[in-house]
Amino acid sequence: MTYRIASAQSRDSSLLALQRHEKSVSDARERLISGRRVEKPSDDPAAAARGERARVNQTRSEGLLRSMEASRTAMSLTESTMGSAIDVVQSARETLISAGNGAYSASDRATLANSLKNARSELLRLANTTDTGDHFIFGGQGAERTAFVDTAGGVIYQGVAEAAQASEEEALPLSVDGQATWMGARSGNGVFETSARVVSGSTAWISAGSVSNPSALELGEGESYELTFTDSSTYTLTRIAADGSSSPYPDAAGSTRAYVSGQTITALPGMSFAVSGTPQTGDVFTVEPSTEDLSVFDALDKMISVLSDASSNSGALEQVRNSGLRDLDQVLSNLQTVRSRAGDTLNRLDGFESRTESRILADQEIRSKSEDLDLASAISDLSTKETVYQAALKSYATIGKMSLFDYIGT
Amino acid sequence: MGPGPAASFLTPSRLLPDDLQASRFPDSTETAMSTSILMNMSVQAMFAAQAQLATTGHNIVNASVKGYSRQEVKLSTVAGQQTSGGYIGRGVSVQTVERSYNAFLSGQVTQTQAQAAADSTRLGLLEQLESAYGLGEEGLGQATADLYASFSDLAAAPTDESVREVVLGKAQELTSRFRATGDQIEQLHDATLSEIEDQVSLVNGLTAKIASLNSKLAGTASEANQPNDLLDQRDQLIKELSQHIEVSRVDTRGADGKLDGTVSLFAAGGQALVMGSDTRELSVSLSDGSPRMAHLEIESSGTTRPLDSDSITGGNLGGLLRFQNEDLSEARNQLGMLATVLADTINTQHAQGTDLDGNAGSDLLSVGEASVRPGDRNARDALGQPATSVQITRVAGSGADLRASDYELRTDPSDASAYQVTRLSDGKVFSGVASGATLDGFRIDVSGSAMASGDRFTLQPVSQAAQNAGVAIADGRKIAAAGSASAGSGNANALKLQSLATAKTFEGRSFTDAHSRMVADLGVKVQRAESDSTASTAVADRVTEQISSETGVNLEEEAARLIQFQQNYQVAAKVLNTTQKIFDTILSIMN
Repeated sequence: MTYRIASAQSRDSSLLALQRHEKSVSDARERLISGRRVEKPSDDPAAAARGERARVNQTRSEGLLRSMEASRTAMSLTESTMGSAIDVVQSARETLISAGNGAYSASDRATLANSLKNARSELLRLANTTDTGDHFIFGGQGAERTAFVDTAGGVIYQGVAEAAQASEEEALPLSVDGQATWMGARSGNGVFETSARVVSGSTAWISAGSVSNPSALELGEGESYELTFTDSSTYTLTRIAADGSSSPYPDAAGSTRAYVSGQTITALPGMSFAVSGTPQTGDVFTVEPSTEDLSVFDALDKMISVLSDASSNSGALEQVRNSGLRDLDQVLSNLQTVRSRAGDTLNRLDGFESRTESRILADQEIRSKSEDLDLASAISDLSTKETVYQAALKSYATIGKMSLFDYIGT
Repeated sequence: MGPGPAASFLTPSRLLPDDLQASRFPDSTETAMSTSILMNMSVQAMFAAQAQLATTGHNIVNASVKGYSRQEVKLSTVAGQQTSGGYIGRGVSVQTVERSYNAFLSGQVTQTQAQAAADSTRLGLLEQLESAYGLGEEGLGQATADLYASFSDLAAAPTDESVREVVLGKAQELTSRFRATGDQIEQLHDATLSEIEDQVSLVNGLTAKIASLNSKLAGTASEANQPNDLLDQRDQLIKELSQHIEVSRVDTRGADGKLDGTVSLFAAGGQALVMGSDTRELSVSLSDGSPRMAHLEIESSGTTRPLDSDSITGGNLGGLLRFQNEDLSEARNQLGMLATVLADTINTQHAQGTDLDGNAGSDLLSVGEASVRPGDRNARDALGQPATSVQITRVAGSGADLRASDYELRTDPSDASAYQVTRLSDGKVFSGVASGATLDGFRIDVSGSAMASGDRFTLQPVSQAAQNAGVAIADGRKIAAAGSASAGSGNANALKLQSLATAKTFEGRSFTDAHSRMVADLGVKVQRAESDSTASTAVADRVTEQISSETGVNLEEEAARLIQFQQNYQVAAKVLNTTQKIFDTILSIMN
């Protein structure tokens, strides 16, 4: 049986085929114009999902870059503030050294005290440095309150310890812990702290001392030694245990010693220091472990009060000069640490930034691969489709013209 | 052209078979081989050729009428007259006009076209649904990433009120995208409902027409001459009907077991739509609650009976119902789950923080409430209100437990005092659920009288969430960026909020993964619907081509036939001419 082609049906289906061709040409053209291969999820579901993920990752990385920028600003500011602070402390140190000049009168010393006062207020200003957003960079977690306030009892810290971070995943500090920076240097010489409680008229003072044998040290937390003058040439050594109980050191028989001004005392294990001047009965010198609570402001306050007091005798002056230098050295080393930590963070930020940027690039590439059109293949696709469409149109028009009816009656 | 009978061929009514029968000329009692026999024979042959020409003309002019079947004149040889010299032929006569018909293929056409219509309707709707989801810059994924990125900007400047406004702006943008997508789903749902109603009234119109044709055709099945054009019309109407709803066709038999010429049409697994000249109307019933779901009902002895939507698989209605019941519900739940869990996760963390004024954080985002849709046939009290009611509430902080699904609640068959809840997305059954119990992140409370065993409640924990999403805070100061320890100024909570971006609280996935999965799922669904539709359309096209090859009109063929039948006519006229000459010869001899 021959296959009969129903004329109406064949016209209909050819027309439908033409319409399909036309649609595919217009789709190809639309894709070329938009430049996107995936315009709706069904174009390529897997690529659409991949593109979505890459886009979100990219947005997140871009957010991270902004956080890094904020962190970089804070750290640069910290770095430069620390630089200025170190300069100020160093000049204060020089001022203090010059206070040792025996030729200086009380009014000369008052001038020095004034210059230390200036240094103190300069440091307070630096400690309250704000960024462009009026946030105190040394405010820690509570960056919008004034970080350091000068009260009658000295400068106190109002911020919240612990630096604010810009990201949960990466360490991107936005502020610095002001407590640790300005009030957290190690007291004493870094291992132990010597201090004097002298009776009026005494000119005795104690040096900062040094560690002679670290492994021999017997100075745990809460423990201390006391050196008490029973008269101007004799002192006894007492050890105070962590529970507060005291006992002669090393024992009742050996605890009393003769005093020679300026002579290095090595009676305590692992350490050496010297007491100089003329002691009075009842003068007490203590040796305690260092703690991390040395405030630069308190140290300066102490120096200023002694230097500006006209009645300070040579012992008091020597004591404040000696322990003041010791304290300022500790402060300097602490500020240096904060400064180099800020510098480290800046370095780390550089690396982190370039890593994040390359991640953004990678995500862009994933997105582009999954969503964007390959222009060359799209253009060739379009021209193929147009050619097919043209051919279809031509054949439809040609075949449609042929009919037996044309020959009837001629 | 001959006299008398030939002239009357010009009136169309003469072409009807009965008339053709009546006008049969030859008479067996006629004496042998008279010129009148010759004349009759040629007139009859001319008549047959005219009938063929008329039928060919009918074919040609109806070539592009939908559902028209090619007709053909069946001729038969008139039995010869017995003479002493043997049987002498007495010409040709028209037996009947037949249409080309293939019952098997015609059944195939209705069935395949119903499937093709269902698939292409669903594809069109899914494509519209797909366009509701923006991709890339305009998408939900981008808006969510922007919100989380704004949290990290907030962490960098927790007291900056302009940054706080940016956070609120991003939250507004995100919720407005949720709303826009949700609204588009609802609009699509509304459009689907009205389309279902339109389709149902079209179905009712078509069944009425088919029934009226049935009454015209009743009793014609056994007749020799079939009313071809009416049969074509009815077949075409059935074909049209099957585009709207899949029907099965049964040719009705009378009490005597013979075909009576009418057809019965059944839909939805055996519900009669047309029986002879009777029809049963379909109607649409909308459920209470939100969203309003349509289901079909059929008229049944004065009342209406619901039709199971699952049994209506073909035709536009099949596609529409499937889209409404499966695709839209799933889309709504997926989107709602994303919105709800996102809001719950962010709000829970937000409540841990402290705002600029030192207060604990309140909700940052809000979404639509959980809802319950009671079954239409649930037991009612004396006032006509549902006797038992069910409420569900989402448990704050349990967002990670929520699933993108509706649930069905009924009494537990094995424990009358408890309930059975079925998660519709995967069919998981929770048995022995008590009122007040919590499952999948929401709490169920049953109140009113004891639940009837036939009561059904559809629980929708997240279905309405997206289109009612919003930002619950208007003042940027109320954003709780600080951790609870440092009153007001820290950024600890902003950091925690920002780190939620990767929290796996969306059915065990992060938002990005859950969202891109939703988008990909939808894309796959559209692709699958597309290939379904392409396949079923191709099948329907092939069957249509097959049947039209058998029953359709080929104009070249008709043109050829036209020439052939014209020649037949001319030859018959020639015979008449010759007969006349013989007659003249005889006359001249007589003279």
